[in-house]
Amino acid sequence: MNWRLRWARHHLAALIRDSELRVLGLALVCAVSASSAVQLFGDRVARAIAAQSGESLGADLIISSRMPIDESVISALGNDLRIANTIHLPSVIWYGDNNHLAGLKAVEAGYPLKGELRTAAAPLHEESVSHQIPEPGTAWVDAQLWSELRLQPNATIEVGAITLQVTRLLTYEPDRGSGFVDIAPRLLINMQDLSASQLLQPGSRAQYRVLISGDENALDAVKALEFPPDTQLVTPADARPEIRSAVSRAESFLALASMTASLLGAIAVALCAHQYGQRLRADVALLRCLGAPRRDIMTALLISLLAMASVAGGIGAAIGWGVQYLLQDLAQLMLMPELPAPHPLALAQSWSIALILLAGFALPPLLSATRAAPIVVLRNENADRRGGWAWQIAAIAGLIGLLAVQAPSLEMLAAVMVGQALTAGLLALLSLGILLAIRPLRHGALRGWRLGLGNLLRRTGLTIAQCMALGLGLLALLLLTVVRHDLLEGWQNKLPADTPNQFLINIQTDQVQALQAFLAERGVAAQRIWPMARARLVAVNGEAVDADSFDDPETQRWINRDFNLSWADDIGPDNRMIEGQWWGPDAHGQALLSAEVYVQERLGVGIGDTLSLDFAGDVRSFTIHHLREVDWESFQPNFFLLTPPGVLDDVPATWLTSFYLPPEQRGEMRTLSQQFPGITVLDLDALMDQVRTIMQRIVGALEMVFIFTVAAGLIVLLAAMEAGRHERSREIALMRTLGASRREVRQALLSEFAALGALSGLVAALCAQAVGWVLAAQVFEIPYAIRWLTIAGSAVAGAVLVCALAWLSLRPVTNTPPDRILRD
Amino acid sequence: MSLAIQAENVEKSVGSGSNRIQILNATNVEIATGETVAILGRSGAGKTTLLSLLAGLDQPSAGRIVLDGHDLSSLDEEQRARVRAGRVGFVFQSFQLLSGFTALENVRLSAELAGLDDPRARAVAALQQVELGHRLEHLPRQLSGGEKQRVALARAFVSNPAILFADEPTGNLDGATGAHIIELMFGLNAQAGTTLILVTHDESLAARCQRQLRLRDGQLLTA
Repeated sequence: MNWRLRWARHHLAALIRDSELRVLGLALVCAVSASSAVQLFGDRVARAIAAQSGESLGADLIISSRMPIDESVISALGNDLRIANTIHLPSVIWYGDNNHLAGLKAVEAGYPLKGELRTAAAPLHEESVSHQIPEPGTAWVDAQLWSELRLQPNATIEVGAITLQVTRLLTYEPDRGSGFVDIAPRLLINMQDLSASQLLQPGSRAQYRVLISGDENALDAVKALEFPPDTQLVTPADARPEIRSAVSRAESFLALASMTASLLGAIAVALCAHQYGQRLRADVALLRCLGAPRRDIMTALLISLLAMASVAGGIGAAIGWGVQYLLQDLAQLMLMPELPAPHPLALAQSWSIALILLAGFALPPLLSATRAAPIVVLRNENADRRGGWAWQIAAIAGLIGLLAVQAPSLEMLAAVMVGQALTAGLLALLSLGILLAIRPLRHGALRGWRLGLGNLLRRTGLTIAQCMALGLGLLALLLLTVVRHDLLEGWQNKLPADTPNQFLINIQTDQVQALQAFLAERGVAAQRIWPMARARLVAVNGEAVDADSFDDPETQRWINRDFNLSWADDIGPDNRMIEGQWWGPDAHGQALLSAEVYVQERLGVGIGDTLSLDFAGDVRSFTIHHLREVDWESFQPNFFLLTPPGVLDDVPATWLTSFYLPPEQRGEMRTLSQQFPGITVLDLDALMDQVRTIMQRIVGALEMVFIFTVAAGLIVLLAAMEAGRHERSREIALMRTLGASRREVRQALLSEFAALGALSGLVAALCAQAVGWVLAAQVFEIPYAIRWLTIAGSAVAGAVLVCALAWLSLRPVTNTPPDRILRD
Repeated sequence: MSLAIQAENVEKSVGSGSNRIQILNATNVEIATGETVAILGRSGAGKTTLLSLLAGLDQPSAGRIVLDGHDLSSLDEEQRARVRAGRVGFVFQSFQLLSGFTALENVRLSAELAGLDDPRARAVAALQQVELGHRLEHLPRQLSGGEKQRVALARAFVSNPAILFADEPTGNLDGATGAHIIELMFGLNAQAGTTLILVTHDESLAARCQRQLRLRDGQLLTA
């Protein structure tokens, strides 16, 4: 091994032995860990989506409708196609006294046409491919429903008017979507059992699907067919846009966390490399003095950096590899239980983070060190000249490269840069304000504390930089935990105690009286029962419209759905008139519409405009009479469109109602389901619990990555401590030499770092509270009380964290005899 | 008589205009091959400056220096480094060992830079000559001050330099250790017939050299 390799090996060994390089290595590991976890996870999800695109429908094509699919449509399909019918609808399932809302899917033999079903005997049992569907009289449930109902193998569950035996645990179905009936726990039954269950009633919120598979020509022929307006043809290209969107949102959050960790890592690397570069100058000068060519020195240094990037990058990638497995929880929440194994090539991208960090932030100071003149051996001159623009260009290029590798889009790249700059600015301003406020305190403090506070105030710039770095990490965690919890609690508490928690839908007209009697018998104060008809918008002011008539995706999605209309001659207090007046009794039987402002925003219509609605082939036109705004958070039934009574009496309609049911009366819903099997019960309490659980799991996954951000903040702090370590060592040695006791020295250090940590925690908590307050006022419209305990807790946590770090970093200095430090 | 070093009207100044400071006035020195020369003077007299110029570690503001037949003023820093690597050895007051290298690696480095065959064996032999055969794998921090300076001596002599520059080689050592180092240095020098240029405050040490150059305020008093 020649001297260049030995020198490179020495630098690599210094990653463990030398405190500055150790911190540099930690910063690399932290940045690469966060990045590789996110990159690997993103890569696996992207490959899963790509791999599933063919089988995500469970077929090559699907014909889908809210109404039973017309026989003429089926008969128009060629004979050389394979076909399977499925029906999806929500239904409450009972097991003993437990009940849960499930997404029921009735399937017939042959399902799925593409992909496969996988089942197990029970949770945690071995999974196997199932080539059959549930036998009549049996059902398969997914793990969530199994757990919610606390099922046992072969348990008997009640589904509408029938009972079914649970024979398998459903672990995978290829065509699971993310609509409500798909997000809800799954119940898979045989189509033959559906009619006996009596769940399928006119107006049921069922989705009818015909799965189609065949060769390319036959499929092209299907694509060329004309379908009725309420019937859609779904192709693989349409498959699961919601998952792509959910993945994109999750990736944005994760990328934000990893980018912040990388940015903080870059600061730490720059600080350490600068300090190490200063010390490296002596070695370089000696090598030059002994006649080493500069080219050889640079080669050795580049070998060192590559080796560092490999080792630290490798460790970081290994940690990231492990962490991304924990992120799988997120994928399951996005209904993607099966992710392909991580691809090692995806690691290369995160490995490049280590290279970029070193090239952008470590290489410039180290290369500058190679310019040290040999005379430095004899005289400590030729002080570091940073090379001005070269440094700045390298740092900016490094910064952009660092973020570009991780940012999912250019917009995100720009947003992160601007957002981070603004947040850092806010944290800096707060830190400066607090430092100025505590300035007078140091005069009244004890000697140790006076020295510590004095140190903080004397290095104002460094103190603020450290507060910003640590504060950024703490802020992210506080927003994810405390503020999120406060906002959700506040929002839930805003609702009155008797807010309806049960919604009944699909009530048939002939069930209305019996249902009212049922509820009255049980002392349940039912709210108003609303009629509801469903229609599709076909024209605005006589001009035909469909999704393609509008540019924005939200309107396109909205217009593709059936509109729910009701009729009323009065309206609740949760509706506020925006324009025009509520109609009087004269409006009875007139084709008028009461439109919610959302309709105006989406369609750009106003009073006097006409909307044509198709009620299962019966197209009728209505004139907008007035505009109103609904308080959707009232949890009362409300509608975007209302007509006066007497207009829609002849269209098919169902009814819905809502009421508050005390927890002790929840069992009554079971009797209701048995007596009225077609009525769908939506238990909002259970839904809210489900939402809360999902949110906790999402936040849990995000927190895992944001912990790297806090770690990166702490590493910056450690780097700053290392940067000032030599100066501080001399100060401590001088203090000790001049008679300060070890206790006083420790007190000074403790007070300085406790104040620094408390300051970081304080500014982070203040920022988090400010964000919480803005969100509460602007988004949730709830009062938001400043949580002083959170602020105090954050300050204490910051102080403890930083003191612990300082103890680790500076303990050797306080324990070393002063003469040794001064002699060195 | 062949010359190891020849300096003609060498000057060194720093700064410019009214801030210009003259560190070394026009100096002429000739040192014969194999000669031992001490450079003496008070602090700030310009001793280290003269040594750094003669060794090619720094560039004079004016004048010409020929080192072992190479005109340093016509060479750039890379070329001067090549001259140093093969022909010049150094011993410094503060030892100047690479902290991450063992004693053996520090010595071997010099042999490698000189392009010698079997640098390891030469380094081991050099360390044995300075009685450190048992300390080959020790890092500088594991060695005493005297041992560090002996490693520096081994490093300086391992490449059989034509000229050895020593800057206050005993300045960081106690009297007894310093005396031992001096004995070693002069002994090795006598064996190798190396030209020795030594900067020191110590008159008794200077007296062991064949010639003394005295500097005062950048002016050479005795040549």
